[in-house]
Amino acid sequence: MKSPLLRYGYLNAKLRARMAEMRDSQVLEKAREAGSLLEVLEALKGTAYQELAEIYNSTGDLGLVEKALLERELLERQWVLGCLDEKPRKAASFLLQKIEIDNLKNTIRIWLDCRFWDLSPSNRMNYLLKRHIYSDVNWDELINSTSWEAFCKGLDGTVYQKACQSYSAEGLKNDQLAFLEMDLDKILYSAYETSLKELGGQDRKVATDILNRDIDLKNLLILMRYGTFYKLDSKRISSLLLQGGAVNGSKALSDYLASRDALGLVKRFMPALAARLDRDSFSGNALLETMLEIEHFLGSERKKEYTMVLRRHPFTMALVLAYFFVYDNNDRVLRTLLNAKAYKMDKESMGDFHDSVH
Amino acid sequence: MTLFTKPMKLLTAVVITSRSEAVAHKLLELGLLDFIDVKSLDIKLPPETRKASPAALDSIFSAAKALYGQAGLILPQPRKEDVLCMMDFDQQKASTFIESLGQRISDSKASLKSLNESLIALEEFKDYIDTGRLNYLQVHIGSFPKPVDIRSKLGDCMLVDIPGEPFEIIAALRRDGAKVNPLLEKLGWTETDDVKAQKASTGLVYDKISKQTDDIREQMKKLAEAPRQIILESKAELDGYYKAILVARLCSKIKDSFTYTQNTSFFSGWVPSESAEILEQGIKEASEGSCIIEWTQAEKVKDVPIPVQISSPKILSPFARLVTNYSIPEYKSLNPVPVVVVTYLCMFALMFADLGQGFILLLLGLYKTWDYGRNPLKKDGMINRNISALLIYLGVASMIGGLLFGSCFGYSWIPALWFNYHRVVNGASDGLVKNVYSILGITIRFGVAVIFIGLIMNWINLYRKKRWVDLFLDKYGIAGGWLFAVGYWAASAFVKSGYKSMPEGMFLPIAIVIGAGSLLFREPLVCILEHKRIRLDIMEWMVQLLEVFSGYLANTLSFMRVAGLGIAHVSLMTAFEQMADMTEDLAFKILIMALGNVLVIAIEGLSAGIQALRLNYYEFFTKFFTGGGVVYRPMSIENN
Repeated sequence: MKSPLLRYGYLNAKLRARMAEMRDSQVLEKAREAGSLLEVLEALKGTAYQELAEIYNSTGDLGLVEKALLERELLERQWVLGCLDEKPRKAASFLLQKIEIDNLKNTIRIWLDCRFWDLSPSNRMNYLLKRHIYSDVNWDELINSTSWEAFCKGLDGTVYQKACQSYSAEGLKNDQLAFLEMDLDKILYSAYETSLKELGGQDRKVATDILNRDIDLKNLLILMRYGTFYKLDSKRISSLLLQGGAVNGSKALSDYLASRDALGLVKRFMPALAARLDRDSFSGNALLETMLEIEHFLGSERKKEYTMVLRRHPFTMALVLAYFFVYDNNDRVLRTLLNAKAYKMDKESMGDFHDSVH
Repeated sequence: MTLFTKPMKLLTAVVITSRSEAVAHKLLELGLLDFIDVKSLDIKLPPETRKASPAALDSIFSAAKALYGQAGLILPQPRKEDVLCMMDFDQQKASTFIESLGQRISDSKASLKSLNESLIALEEFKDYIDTGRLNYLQVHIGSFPKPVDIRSKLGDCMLVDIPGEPFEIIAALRRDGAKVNPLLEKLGWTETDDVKAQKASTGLVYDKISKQTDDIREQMKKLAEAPRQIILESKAELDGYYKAILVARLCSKIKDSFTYTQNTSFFSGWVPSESAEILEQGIKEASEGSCIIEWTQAEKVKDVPIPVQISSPKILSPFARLVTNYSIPEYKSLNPVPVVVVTYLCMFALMFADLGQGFILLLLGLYKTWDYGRNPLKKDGMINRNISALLIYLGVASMIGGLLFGSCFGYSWIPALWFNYHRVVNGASDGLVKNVYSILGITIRFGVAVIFIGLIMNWINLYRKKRWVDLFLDKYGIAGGWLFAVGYWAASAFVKSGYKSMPEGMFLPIAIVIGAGSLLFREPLVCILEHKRIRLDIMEWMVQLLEVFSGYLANTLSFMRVAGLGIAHVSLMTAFEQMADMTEDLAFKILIMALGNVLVIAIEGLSAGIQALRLNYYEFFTKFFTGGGVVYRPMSIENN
């Protein structure tokens, strides 16, 4: 059996070098400081993102730039997975599935837009990834389907079909889309949890810890968003929560569902943030701001978690997960910046870029 | 070229604030002053200070730079004589002009985007026909009761074809049927029952799409060039504004270094002594005499680092880069560049001596330099601009080495001017050089010479800095040099005796005692001079002695790598020669030798370059190079 050093040594050196390169190029800092989209594109020249500037210059199409960014993410994941042994590769392949699920969510959103709201021409579909990502989704069949039933048929043989079939097009059009998206997330986390069971030793422990922490952060976000902000009923909220982690099944959760005492929940699971909040923070006009603060807090907690885990367990699966956390975050910020500059938003309107929990 | 770092003077000036703009422009035009923060000087400043904000200028500047980037043009550089003319630059006008250019480029991108969207839609259509997935399409053949502008109603995602046939074709994606079909019905569309026309419709649609995609691609190609055309049309005006913005930005930075009171502006900075008068005259002229200027000699300034200016001819810039990569020499030190040119090239020539391979390096260096000169915007590759220039020198050095040792592409085709390296390495003697030990001896002597040059340079530096104790009693001072000389003499005698005996008599022990004793009394002497309690640390002295003996020995023997690399070079080429001799086929023989030469040039060339650098950095520089200097970087057009 390979030692962790042998298994992750090469990847550790490569990924750390790539992370250092991302940091040293200061591309995001330069892009943030840029006054216009043209300046952002100049900042991308000579960096790993140069290809994006070339795409924009030859097409003027930011949609294609975003698609290329997503293609890069996919290729990067496939490369890293290729460097792993069978079991860690199987577990880490949830990173591919995540892209696939995000692509599926986008497809559903655009499909619904084109079908019901007529807001956009159907060629928006061409900005979606149509290649094989993780499972055999027939993307062409999905985007060309003329009914929701035909759409679901395009998911034949995939784990997503059942989840999609449990909703109707009419329901999704009204208010069910967010719930379908959460069901798809559940599929992702459940598949990931199952694959972790095959891992051994430190890998399994570290990856499970990260997963549980991620589930907790997601569940807290769901509780705050749907419990406190949208005030959904307790049964519905419970059905949305992801299995696993310390939040789901805890006494604090039952108390919250019974009393809707958001501050109590924050005190229990986010004590560092609770010091800055009071009961008034969860009522009236302050609520929206509090929600943003909570999302920001959970995002930075996640970042801290990954930084710490990478320092403590450099030769485990944590390395791969932490790398993609940084990588995806950079891509997300860059995507936001490109759009913000294209729509001529000033720095104040853009605000801070939070570390994502999504 | 300067032999030593240039002597510096510190300027402190006060000018009337109303003339500060003119002074800033004059200082930029002269480009002589390396500013320091006046607060770091030991002077009392008035409490009220303010600073100019360059944020707006920075923003216009980066917008202008992005325009040049879009057009793939080199940024223009203002001339010194332009600086004063740019004082009345209209920032608002420049900003409006640059914004309008940016807007024109954005508009061209928007048109490009619209074309691209059409292209993507058509390509999707074409792909479905190509791959036989016609079920994703719907093609209607028929006519409207009266002429209709169907494209404006259906948009670009639909394909409309009206080629003057008795019928019209409307092709759309089936997924858009919910939008298309009710519209067709509303407009009174009637499908034709002409079966022939129906069969031909897909082919007609495909042809139309192919033509349309080709047209769009052509248009996009032209439109992608639009930003460059837009900039080129307005280049003269843009150049003018860019230069003015750059000057204004630099002047703003200069004024940032000023400290203001209600009516006066303070500033301070370093200038080479030789340029002090020009600078003083310039400030007086720009401030119309409303100024006070004070000069301080560098030696009298405490707690402020004195910047270092050493100038070397541009032609030696690759070597200057090797030196600055190591560190910046201390103020008042010798300029090491000219010596490095000699030592580095000698070492390389000894390790990689081949007329033919050197010529290849020379050609490669010349080609890369020419290529970079031809494409100034080209990104540095693995062989960057500096290495390209260095390769020219290394090629020449290697060719000279080849002539000295009679080597050309690994063969002894030419007569050796000194001795035939190939013959000696392969077991035959050539004049005084009898075997590989003789080659090792030559490189050790070369190393001793390099170390002594380093020590002498150190003594010159210490003398100029008046550090007398270090000059006489340091391990790299005269005492250390004495021990090294004695050691070399004793070792030479030992070798001469056939490794049997050291020199006889009392000279050797006495000489060692004098050298070692000198090192012992360094610390007490420093204590006396600094009026501290005298201490004699025997343990530290013994460690230092060990360091001196082992250090000098290791430094000297380290030069054996020069012989090692040279011998390896010859051995590798001999091996390839023997491999080539194994075949009768001339073409194959040539191929083996060509591959051998390529391999040796790539691997040995790189190795010799690195080893020569290593010897310079660790065996030579450590003897005299006190780094940690600060580069003299005056605020000027050229430096920014």
